[in-house]
Amino acid sequence: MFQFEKLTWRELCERCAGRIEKAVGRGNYGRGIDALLHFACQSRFAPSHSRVAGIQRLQRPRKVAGCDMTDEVSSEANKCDGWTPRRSTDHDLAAQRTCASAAQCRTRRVAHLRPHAPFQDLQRSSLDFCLTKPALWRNLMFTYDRLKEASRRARNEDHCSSKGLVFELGRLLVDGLIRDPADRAAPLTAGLSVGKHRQALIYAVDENFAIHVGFDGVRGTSDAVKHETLFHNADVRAAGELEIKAGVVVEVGDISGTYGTPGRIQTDPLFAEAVLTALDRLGVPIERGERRRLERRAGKR
Amino acid sequence: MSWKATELDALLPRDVDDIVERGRTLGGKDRTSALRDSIARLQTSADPLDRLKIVLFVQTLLAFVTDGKLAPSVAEAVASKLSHIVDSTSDPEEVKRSALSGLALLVLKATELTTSANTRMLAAFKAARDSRDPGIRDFARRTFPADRAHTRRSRSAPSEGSGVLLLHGRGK
Repeated sequence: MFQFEKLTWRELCERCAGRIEKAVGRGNYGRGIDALLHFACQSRFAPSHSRVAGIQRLQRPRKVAGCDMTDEVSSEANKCDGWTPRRSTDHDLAAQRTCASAAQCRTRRVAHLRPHAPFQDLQRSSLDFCLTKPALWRNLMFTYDRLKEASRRARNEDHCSSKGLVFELGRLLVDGLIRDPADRAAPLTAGLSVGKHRQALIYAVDENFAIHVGFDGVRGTSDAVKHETLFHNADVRAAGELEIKAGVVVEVGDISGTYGTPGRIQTDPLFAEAVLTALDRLGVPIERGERRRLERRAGKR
Repeated sequence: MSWKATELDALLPRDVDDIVERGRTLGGKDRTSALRDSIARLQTSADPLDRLKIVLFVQTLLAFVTDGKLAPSVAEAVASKLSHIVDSTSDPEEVKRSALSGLALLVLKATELTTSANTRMLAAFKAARDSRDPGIRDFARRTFPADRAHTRRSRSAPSEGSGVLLLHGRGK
Protein backbone atom coordinates (compact mmCIF):
# COMPACT_ATOMS: atom_id res chain seq x y z
CA MET A 1 0.00 0.00 0.00
CA PHE A 2 1.28 3.45 -0.81
CA GLN A 3 2.08 6.14 1.67
CA PHE A 4 0.18 8.87 -0.05
CA GLU A 5 1.27 11.69 2.15
CA LYS A 6 4.92 11.13 1.26
CA LEU A 7 4.45 11.01 -2.51
CA THR A 8 4.01 13.74 -5.05
CA TRP A 9 1.12 13.34 -7.43
CA ARG A 10 3.50 12.25 -10.11
CA GLU A 11 5.16 9.59 -8.00
CA LEU A 12 1.82 8.27 -6.92
CA CYS A 13 0.56 8.08 -10.47
CA GLU A 14 3.73 6.53 -11.80
CA ARG A 15 3.66 3.80 -9.20
CA CYS A 16 0.02 3.00 -9.83
CA ALA A 17 0.40 3.03 -13.58
CA GLY A 18 3.58 0.99 -13.35
CA ARG A 19 1.92 -1.72 -11.25
CA ILE A 20 -0.97 -1.94 -13.62
CA GLU A 21 1.27 -2.25 -16.63
CA LYS A 22 3.44 -4.88 -15.00
CA ALA A 23 0.47 -6.98 -14.10
CA VAL A 24 -1.04 -6.68 -17.53
CA GLY A 25 2.31 -7.35 -19.19
CA ARG A 26 2.56 -10.64 -17.32
CA GLY A 27 -0.95 -11.58 -18.31
CA ASN A 28 -2.22 -11.21 -14.76
CA TYR A 29 -5.30 -9.24 -15.55
CA GLY A 30 -6.95 -9.87 -12.23
CA ARG A 31 -4.12 -8.14 -10.44
CA GLY A 32 -4.13 -5.41 -13.04
CA ILE A 33 -7.78 -4.78 -12.39
CA ASP A 34 -7.19 -4.77 -8.67
CA ALA A 35 -4.47 -2.18 -9.09
CA LEU A 36 -6.68 -0.17 -11.37
CA LEU A 37 -9.55 -0.23 -8.91
CA HIS A 38 -7.24 0.83 -6.16
CA PHE A 39 -5.96 3.59 -8.37
CA ALA A 40 -9.40 4.75 -9.42
CA CYS A 41 -10.83 4.58 -5.93
CA GLN A 42 -8.10 6.89 -4.72
CA SER A 43 -9.47 9.45 -7.11
CA ARG A 44 -9.57 12.09 -4.44
CA PHE A 45 -5.81 11.84 -4.26
CA ALA A 46 -5.01 12.19 -7.93
CA PRO A 47 -5.93 14.51 -10.78
CA SER A 48 -8.22 13.02 -13.37
CA HIS A 49 -5.70 12.90 -16.18
CA SER A 50 -3.49 10.63 -14.12
CA ARG A 51 -6.29 8.17 -13.66
CA VAL A 52 -6.83 8.32 -17.36
CA ALA A 53 -3.24 7.31 -18.01
CA GLY A 54 -3.54 4.34 -15.71
CA ILE A 55 -6.70 3.06 -17.23
CA GLN A 56 -5.43 3.52 -20.72
CA ARG A 57 -2.64 1.11 -19.95
CA LEU A 58 -5.25 -1.56 -19.55
CA GLN A 59 -6.97 -0.52 -22.73
CA ARG A 60 -4.00 -1.46 -24.86
CA PRO A 61 -4.29 -5.24 -24.76
CA ARG A 62 -7.64 -5.25 -26.42
CA LYS A 63 -8.25 -8.93 -26.71
CA VAL A 64 -6.39 -11.68 -24.97
CA ALA A 65 -7.54 -15.28 -25.11
CA GLY A 66 -10.91 -14.17 -26.35
CA CYS A 67 -11.48 -11.87 -23.42
CA ASP A 68 -11.91 -8.18 -24.14
CA MET A 69 -10.15 -6.63 -21.19
CA THR A 70 -11.15 -3.13 -22.05
CA ASP A 71 -14.81 -3.79 -21.49
CA GLU A 72 -14.17 -5.59 -18.25
CA VAL A 73 -11.93 -2.90 -16.93
CA SER A 74 -14.26 -0.17 -18.04
CA SER A 75 -17.16 -1.82 -16.36
CA GLU A 76 -15.22 -2.25 -13.10
CA ALA A 77 -13.97 1.30 -13.21
CA ASN A 78 -17.49 2.55 -13.72
CA LYS A 79 -18.61 0.77 -10.63
CA CYS A 80 -15.75 2.30 -8.74
CA ASP A 81 -16.08 5.96 -9.41
CA GLY A 82 -18.70 6.52 -12.03
CA TRP A 83 -16.12 7.44 -14.59
CA THR A 84 -16.55 6.23 -18.14
CA PRO A 85 -13.41 5.40 -20.04
CA ARG A 86 -13.87 5.36 -23.73
CA ARG A 87 -12.46 2.80 -26.07
CA SER A 88 -9.87 4.49 -28.25
CA THR A 89 -10.12 3.60 -31.89
CA ASP A 90 -9.32 5.29 -35.12
CA HIS A 91 -12.98 5.97 -35.53
CA ASP A 92 -13.33 7.96 -32.35
CA LEU A 93 -13.28 11.36 -33.92
CA ALA A 94 -15.75 10.39 -36.59
CA ALA A 95 -18.04 8.98 -33.95
CA GLN A 96 -17.86 12.10 -31.85
CA ARG A 97 -18.76 14.29 -34.75
CA THR A 98 -22.27 13.00 -34.68
CA CYS A 99 -22.94 15.41 -31.84
CA ALA A 100 -25.78 17.63 -32.78
CA SER A 101 -25.57 20.39 -30.23
CA ALA A 102 -23.13 22.17 -28.01
CA ALA A 103 -24.83 20.80 -24.95
CA GLN A 104 -24.29 17.28 -26.21
CA CYS A 105 -20.68 18.08 -26.95
CA ARG A 106 -20.10 19.32 -23.47
CA THR A 107 -21.73 16.28 -21.97
CA ARG A 108 -19.83 13.90 -24.14
CA ARG A 109 -16.45 15.40 -23.57
CA VAL A 110 -16.29 13.64 -20.25
CA ALA A 111 -16.05 10.42 -22.18
CA HIS A 112 -13.66 11.70 -24.82
CA LEU A 113 -10.63 10.03 -23.39
CA ARG A 114 -7.85 9.05 -25.70
CA PRO A 115 -4.59 7.23 -25.45
CA HIS A 116 -1.64 9.35 -24.43
CA ALA A 117 2.02 8.59 -24.71
CA PRO A 118 3.29 6.00 -22.25
CA PHE A 119 3.23 7.51 -18.82
CA GLN A 120 6.92 7.06 -18.16
CA ASP A 121 7.60 9.18 -21.22
CA LEU A 122 6.11 12.22 -19.57
CA GLN A 123 8.78 14.74 -18.93
CA ARG A 124 9.23 15.45 -15.26
CA SER A 125 9.95 19.11 -15.77
CA SER A 126 6.57 19.82 -17.25
CA LEU A 127 4.43 17.52 -15.23
CA ASP A 128 5.78 18.15 -11.78
CA PHE A 129 4.20 21.53 -11.84
CA CYS A 130 0.72 20.46 -12.80
CA LEU A 131 0.65 17.31 -10.75
CA THR A 132 1.80 18.98 -7.58
CA LYS A 133 -0.46 22.00 -7.99
CA PRO A 134 -3.78 20.60 -9.16
CA ALA A 135 -5.71 23.44 -7.58
CA LEU A 136 -3.87 25.95 -9.71
CA TRP A 137 -4.67 24.08 -12.88
CA ARG A 138 -8.31 23.56 -12.16
CA ASN A 139 -9.45 26.92 -13.40
CA LEU A 140 -7.02 27.43 -16.23
CA MET A 141 -9.67 26.66 -18.78
CA PHE A 142 -10.73 28.75 -21.70
CA THR A 143 -14.38 28.60 -22.52
CA TYR A 144 -16.08 28.90 -25.84
CA ASP A 145 -18.21 31.88 -24.83
CA ARG A 146 -21.96 31.51 -25.00
CA LEU A 147 -22.21 34.85 -26.75
CA LYS A 148 -19.95 33.76 -29.59
CA GLU A 149 -21.50 30.34 -29.81
CA ALA A 150 -25.03 31.70 -29.96
CA SER A 151 -24.06 34.21 -32.61
CA ARG A 152 -22.43 31.54 -34.74
CA ARG A 153 -25.28 29.13 -34.33
CA ALA A 154 -27.69 31.80 -35.46
CA ARG A 155 -25.69 32.15 -38.66
CA ASN A 156 -25.08 28.43 -38.99
CA GLU A 157 -21.35 29.04 -38.65
CA ASP A 158 -20.60 27.01 -35.56
CA HIS A 159 -18.24 24.15 -36.36
CA CYS A 160 -18.60 22.04 -33.27
CA SER A 161 -19.84 19.09 -35.27
CA SER A 162 -17.78 19.69 -38.37
CA LYS A 163 -16.75 16.55 -40.21
CA GLY A 164 -13.37 18.01 -41.12
CA LEU A 165 -10.25 16.09 -40.20
CA VAL A 166 -8.95 16.48 -36.66
CA PHE A 167 -5.79 14.71 -35.57
CA GLU A 168 -4.34 13.74 -32.26
CA LEU A 169 -0.87 15.20 -32.53
CA GLY A 170 0.66 12.05 -31.06
CA ARG A 171 -0.63 10.00 -33.92
CA LEU A 172 1.21 12.15 -36.42
CA LEU A 173 4.53 11.44 -34.72
CA VAL A 174 6.75 8.92 -36.45
CA ASP A 175 10.42 8.55 -35.59
CA GLY A 176 10.35 11.70 -33.54
CA LEU A 177 8.99 13.96 -36.27
CA ILE A 178 5.51 15.24 -36.98
CA ARG A 179 4.35 13.74 -40.26
CA ASP A 180 2.07 15.11 -42.91
CA PRO A 181 -1.32 13.43 -42.44
CA ALA A 182 -1.69 13.21 -46.20
CA ASP A 183 1.71 11.57 -46.63
CA ARG A 184 3.01 9.90 -43.51
CA ALA A 185 6.42 9.47 -45.10
CA ALA A 186 6.97 13.22 -45.32
CA PRO A 187 7.68 15.51 -42.34
CA LEU A 188 4.98 18.12 -41.94
CA THR A 189 5.51 21.77 -42.73
CA ALA A 190 2.62 24.05 -41.80
CA GLY A 191 2.64 27.71 -41.01
CA LEU A 192 0.86 30.58 -39.40
CA SER A 193 -2.05 32.11 -41.19
CA VAL A 194 -0.92 35.72 -41.53
CA GLY A 195 -0.83 36.55 -45.22
CA LYS A 196 -2.52 33.25 -46.02
CA HIS A 197 0.60 32.02 -47.78
CA ARG A 198 0.42 28.75 -45.95
CA GLN A 199 -2.39 26.91 -44.33
CA ALA A 200 -2.53 27.41 -40.61
CA LEU A 201 -2.37 24.44 -38.29
CA ILE A 202 -4.55 25.14 -35.30
CA TYR A 203 -4.27 23.34 -31.98
CA ALA A 204 -6.03 23.05 -28.66
CA VAL A 205 -5.03 21.40 -25.38
CA ASP A 206 -7.82 19.83 -23.37
CA GLU A 207 -8.15 19.34 -19.64
CA ASN A 208 -6.21 16.07 -19.80
CA PHE A 209 -3.38 17.72 -21.72
CA ALA A 210 -4.30 15.92 -24.90
CA ILE A 211 -3.51 18.03 -27.93
CA HIS A 212 -5.56 18.00 -31.12
CA VAL A 213 -4.63 19.74 -34.34
CA GLY A 214 -6.34 20.49 -37.63
CA PHE A 215 -5.87 22.62 -40.70
CA ASP A 216 -7.72 25.88 -40.26
CA GLY A 217 -10.73 26.12 -42.53
CA VAL A 218 -12.95 28.93 -43.73
CA ARG A 219 -15.77 29.55 -41.29
CA GLY A 220 -19.15 28.77 -42.70
CA THR A 221 -17.93 26.32 -45.30
CA SER A 222 -18.81 22.67 -45.15
CA ASP A 223 -16.53 20.51 -42.98
CA ALA A 224 -14.25 23.40 -42.07
CA VAL A 225 -12.14 22.78 -38.97
CA LYS A 226 -12.07 25.62 -36.46
CA HIS A 227 -10.90 25.77 -32.86
CA GLU A 228 -14.26 24.68 -31.49
CA THR A 229 -14.05 21.57 -33.70
CA LEU A 230 -10.87 20.28 -32.09
CA PHE A 231 -12.56 19.27 -28.84
CA HIS A 232 -16.15 19.83 -29.86
CA ASN A 233 -16.81 22.96 -27.85
CA ALA A 234 -15.17 21.66 -24.71
CA ASP A 235 -13.20 24.00 -22.47
CA VAL A 236 -9.47 23.96 -23.18
CA ARG A 237 -6.25 24.84 -21.39
CA ALA A 238 -4.65 26.46 -24.41
CA ALA A 239 -5.43 27.12 -28.05
CA GLY A 240 -3.77 28.82 -30.97
CA GLU A 241 -1.70 28.00 -34.00
CA LEU A 242 1.39 25.91 -34.51
CA GLU A 243 4.14 26.60 -36.97
CA ILE A 244 5.88 23.41 -37.94
CA LYS A 245 8.90 23.11 -40.17
CA ALA A 246 10.16 19.75 -41.38
CA GLY A 247 8.29 17.96 -38.61
CA VAL A 248 9.56 20.19 -35.79
CA VAL A 249 7.50 22.78 -33.89
CA VAL A 250 9.17 26.13 -34.45
CA GLU A 251 6.52 28.45 -33.07
CA VAL A 252 3.54 28.13 -30.77
CA GLY A 253 0.94 30.85 -31.11
CA ASP A 254 -1.86 31.86 -28.79
CA ILE A 255 -4.37 33.36 -31.20
CA SER A 256 -7.85 31.89 -31.03
CA GLY A 257 -10.93 34.03 -31.46
CA THR A 258 -13.14 31.21 -30.27
CA TYR A 259 -11.40 30.84 -26.91
CA GLY A 260 -10.31 34.49 -26.56
CA THR A 261 -6.66 33.63 -26.01
CA PRO A 262 -4.70 36.36 -27.86
CA GLY A 263 -1.72 37.41 -25.77
CA ARG A 264 -2.22 34.85 -23.02
CA ILE A 265 1.09 33.18 -23.67
CA GLN A 266 2.70 36.49 -22.65
CA THR A 267 0.65 37.09 -19.55
CA ASP A 268 -0.26 33.70 -18.11
CA PRO A 269 2.52 31.25 -17.22
CA LEU A 270 0.03 28.41 -17.01
CA PHE A 271 -0.84 28.80 -20.68
CA ALA A 272 2.74 28.17 -21.79
CA GLU A 273 3.04 25.44 -19.18
CA ALA A 274 -0.04 23.68 -20.55
CA VAL A 275 1.34 23.72 -24.08
CA LEU A 276 4.74 22.46 -22.94
CA THR A 277 3.15 19.71 -20.91
CA ALA A 278 0.97 18.59 -23.80
CA LEU A 279 3.85 18.59 -26.26
CA ASP A 280 6.37 17.01 -23.93
CA ARG A 281 4.18 14.16 -22.86
CA LEU A 282 4.00 13.12 -26.51
CA GLY A 283 7.67 13.74 -27.18
CA VAL A 284 6.89 16.32 -29.85
CA PRO A 285 10.11 17.92 -31.12
CA ILE A 286 10.32 21.64 -30.36
CA GLU A 287 12.95 23.91 -31.83
CA ARG A 288 15.41 24.91 -29.12
CA GLY A 289 14.75 28.65 -29.23
CA GLU A 290 11.02 28.14 -29.08
CA ARG A 291 11.34 25.74 -26.17
CA ARG A 292 13.36 28.35 -24.31
CA ARG A 293 10.73 30.98 -25.05
CA LEU A 294 7.96 28.72 -23.78
CA GLU A 295 9.92 27.82 -20.68
CA ARG A 296 10.61 31.47 -20.02
CA ARG A 297 6.93 32.26 -20.43
CA ALA A 298 6.09 29.39 -18.13
CA GLY A 299 8.36 30.89 -15.50
CA LYS A 300 10.95 28.14 -15.64
CA ARG A 301 13.83 30.32 -16.75
CA MET B 1 -4.20 47.31 -45.80
CA SER B 2 -4.34 50.49 -43.74
CA TRP B 3 -6.91 51.14 -41.02
CA LYS B 4 -9.88 53.45 -41.61
CA ALA B 5 -12.09 54.85 -38.91
CA THR B 6 -15.17 53.33 -40.51
CA GLU B 7 -13.68 49.87 -40.68
CA LEU B 8 -14.84 48.90 -37.22
CA ASP B 9 -18.44 49.26 -38.34
CA ALA B 10 -17.76 46.84 -41.15
CA LEU B 11 -15.95 44.41 -38.87
CA LEU B 12 -18.51 44.14 -36.10
CA PRO B 13 -21.15 42.19 -38.02
CA ARG B 14 -18.50 39.65 -38.97
CA ASP B 15 -17.28 36.70 -36.97
CA VAL B 16 -14.92 37.03 -34.00
CA ASP B 17 -12.24 35.15 -35.94
CA ASP B 18 -12.30 37.78 -38.69
CA ILE B 19 -11.92 40.54 -36.14
CA VAL B 20 -9.00 38.80 -34.46
CA GLU B 21 -7.42 38.14 -37.84
CA ARG B 22 -7.73 41.80 -38.75
CA GLY B 23 -6.21 42.80 -35.44
CA ARG B 24 -3.09 40.74 -35.99
CA THR B 25 -2.42 42.18 -39.41
CA LEU B 26 -2.34 45.80 -38.25
CA GLY B 27 0.87 47.47 -37.24
CA GLY B 28 2.40 50.81 -36.31
CA LYS B 29 0.12 53.82 -36.62
CA ASP B 30 -2.73 51.73 -37.96
CA ARG B 31 -2.71 49.69 -34.79
CA THR B 32 -2.70 52.81 -32.66
CA SER B 33 -5.58 54.29 -34.63
CA ALA B 34 -7.52 51.05 -34.36
CA LEU B 35 -7.00 51.03 -30.59
CA ARG B 36 -8.27 54.61 -30.31
CA ASP B 37 -11.30 53.90 -32.49
CA SER B 38 -12.13 50.75 -30.58
CA ILE B 39 -11.99 52.47 -27.21
CA ALA B 40 -14.16 55.28 -28.53
CA ARG B 41 -16.63 52.76 -29.87
CA LEU B 42 -16.84 51.03 -26.49
CA GLN B 43 -18.20 54.28 -25.05
CA THR B 44 -21.25 54.12 -27.27
CA SER B 45 -21.82 50.43 -27.91
CA ALA B 46 -24.25 48.68 -25.61
CA ASP B 47 -24.75 45.34 -27.33
CA PRO B 48 -22.88 42.63 -25.35
CA LEU B 49 -21.73 40.77 -28.45
CA ASP B 50 -20.41 43.94 -30.06
CA ARG B 51 -18.64 44.86 -26.86
CA LEU B 52 -17.12 41.40 -26.65
CA LYS B 53 -15.86 41.69 -30.22
CA ILE B 54 -14.39 45.13 -29.63
CA VAL B 55 -12.64 44.12 -26.42
CA LEU B 56 -11.25 41.02 -28.11
CA PHE B 57 -10.06 43.22 -30.95
CA VAL B 58 -8.30 45.46 -28.43
CA GLN B 59 -6.82 42.40 -26.73
CA THR B 60 -5.47 41.16 -30.06
CA LEU B 61 -4.05 44.56 -30.98
CA LEU B 62 -2.28 44.78 -27.63
CA ALA B 63 -0.88 41.27 -28.00
CA PHE B 64 1.10 42.38 -31.04
CA VAL B 65 2.47 45.62 -29.61
CA THR B 66 6.16 45.45 -28.74
CA ASP B 67 6.66 45.36 -24.97
CA GLY B 68 6.99 48.81 -23.43
CA LYS B 69 6.21 50.62 -26.67
CA LEU B 70 2.56 51.56 -26.37
CA ALA B 71 2.11 55.33 -26.49
CA PRO B 72 1.13 56.81 -23.10
CA SER B 73 -1.99 58.56 -24.35
CA VAL B 74 -3.36 55.38 -25.90
CA ALA B 75 -2.37 53.32 -22.88
CA GLU B 76 -4.20 55.78 -20.64
CA ALA B 77 -7.42 55.50 -22.63
CA VAL B 78 -7.23 51.72 -22.90
CA ALA B 79 -6.43 51.31 -19.20
CA SER B 80 -9.32 53.48 -18.21
CA LYS B 81 -11.88 51.75 -20.41
CA LEU B 82 -10.80 48.17 -19.75
CA SER B 83 -10.61 48.81 -16.00
CA HIS B 84 -14.13 50.16 -16.12
CA ILE B 85 -15.34 47.01 -17.86
CA VAL B 86 -13.62 44.64 -15.42
CA ASP B 87 -15.12 46.62 -12.55
CA SER B 88 -18.60 46.94 -14.03
CA THR B 89 -21.69 45.05 -13.05
CA SER B 90 -23.40 45.37 -16.41
CA ASP B 91 -20.92 43.66 -18.73
CA PRO B 92 -21.16 39.88 -19.04
CA GLU B 93 -18.32 37.71 -17.74
CA GLU B 94 -17.12 36.93 -21.25
CA VAL B 95 -16.44 40.61 -21.87
CA LYS B 96 -14.79 41.01 -18.48
CA ARG B 97 -12.48 38.05 -19.10
CA SER B 98 -11.26 39.57 -22.32
CA ALA B 99 -10.91 43.00 -20.73
CA LEU B 100 -8.80 41.55 -17.93
CA SER B 101 -6.57 39.81 -20.48
CA GLY B 102 -6.22 43.17 -22.20
CA LEU B 103 -5.27 44.87 -18.95
CA ALA B 104 -2.64 42.24 -18.23
CA LEU B 105 -1.20 42.86 -21.69
CA LEU B 106 -1.31 46.58 -21.15
CA VAL B 107 0.96 46.21 -18.15
CA LEU B 108 3.60 44.73 -20.44
CA LYS B 109 3.05 47.07 -23.35
CA ALA B 110 2.60 50.52 -21.84
CA THR B 111 5.49 52.96 -21.82
CA GLU B 112 3.99 54.77 -18.86
CA LEU B 113 0.69 55.35 -17.15
CA THR B 114 -0.69 58.26 -15.21
CA THR B 115 -1.42 57.91 -11.53
CA SER B 116 -5.16 57.91 -12.11
CA ALA B 117 -4.95 55.15 -14.71
CA ASN B 118 -2.66 53.25 -12.38
CA THR B 119 -5.19 53.55 -9.57
CA ARG B 120 -8.06 52.46 -11.78
CA MET B 121 -6.15 49.41 -12.95
CA LEU B 122 -5.24 48.36 -9.43
CA ALA B 123 -8.90 48.71 -8.45
CA ALA B 124 -9.86 46.58 -11.44
CA PHE B 125 -7.38 43.89 -10.48
CA LYS B 126 -8.70 43.90 -6.95
CA ALA B 127 -12.25 43.49 -8.25
CA ALA B 128 -11.07 40.70 -10.53
CA ARG B 129 -9.40 38.85 -7.67
CA ASP B 130 -12.72 38.88 -5.84
CA SER B 131 -14.77 37.96 -8.89
CA ARG B 132 -17.22 35.10 -8.73
CA ASP B 133 -16.09 33.93 -12.16
CA PRO B 134 -13.27 31.41 -11.56
CA GLY B 135 -11.55 32.22 -14.85
CA ILE B 136 -11.32 35.91 -13.98
CA ARG B 137 -10.56 35.38 -10.32
CA ASP B 138 -7.78 32.84 -10.74
CA PHE B 139 -6.11 34.64 -13.60
CA ALA B 140 -6.08 37.85 -11.56
CA ARG B 141 -4.77 36.07 -8.48
CA ARG B 142 -2.03 34.34 -10.45
CA THR B 143 -0.98 37.38 -12.39
CA PHE B 144 -1.57 40.14 -9.87
CA PRO B 145 -1.57 38.66 -6.38
CA ALA B 146 -2.56 41.23 -3.82
CA ASP B 147 0.45 40.82 -1.57
CA ARG B 148 3.29 40.82 -4.06
CA ALA B 149 2.01 42.19 -7.34
CA HIS B 150 4.73 44.70 -8.02
CA THR B 151 7.65 42.64 -6.81
CA ARG B 152 6.57 39.56 -8.72
CA ARG B 153 5.97 41.32 -12.00
CA SER B 154 9.04 43.49 -11.83
CA ARG B 155 11.22 40.40 -12.11
CA SER B 156 10.23 40.20 -15.77
CA ALA B 157 12.54 41.12 -18.60
CA PRO B 158 13.58 44.79 -18.59
CA SER B 159 11.30 45.65 -21.47
CA GLU B 160 8.40 44.02 -19.65
CA GLY B 161 9.31 45.58 -16.37
CA SER B 162 9.19 49.16 -17.52
CA GLY B 163 5.42 49.26 -17.81
CA VAL B 164 4.90 47.11 -14.78
CA LEU B 165 6.96 49.29 -12.51
CA LEU B 166 4.97 52.28 -13.54
CA LEU B 167 1.74 50.47 -12.96
CA HIS B 168 2.63 49.41 -9.47
CA GLY B 169 4.47 52.48 -8.43
CA ARG B 170 7.71 53.83 -9.84
CA GLY B 171 10.81 52.54 -8.11
CA LYS B 172 9.05 49.82 -6.15
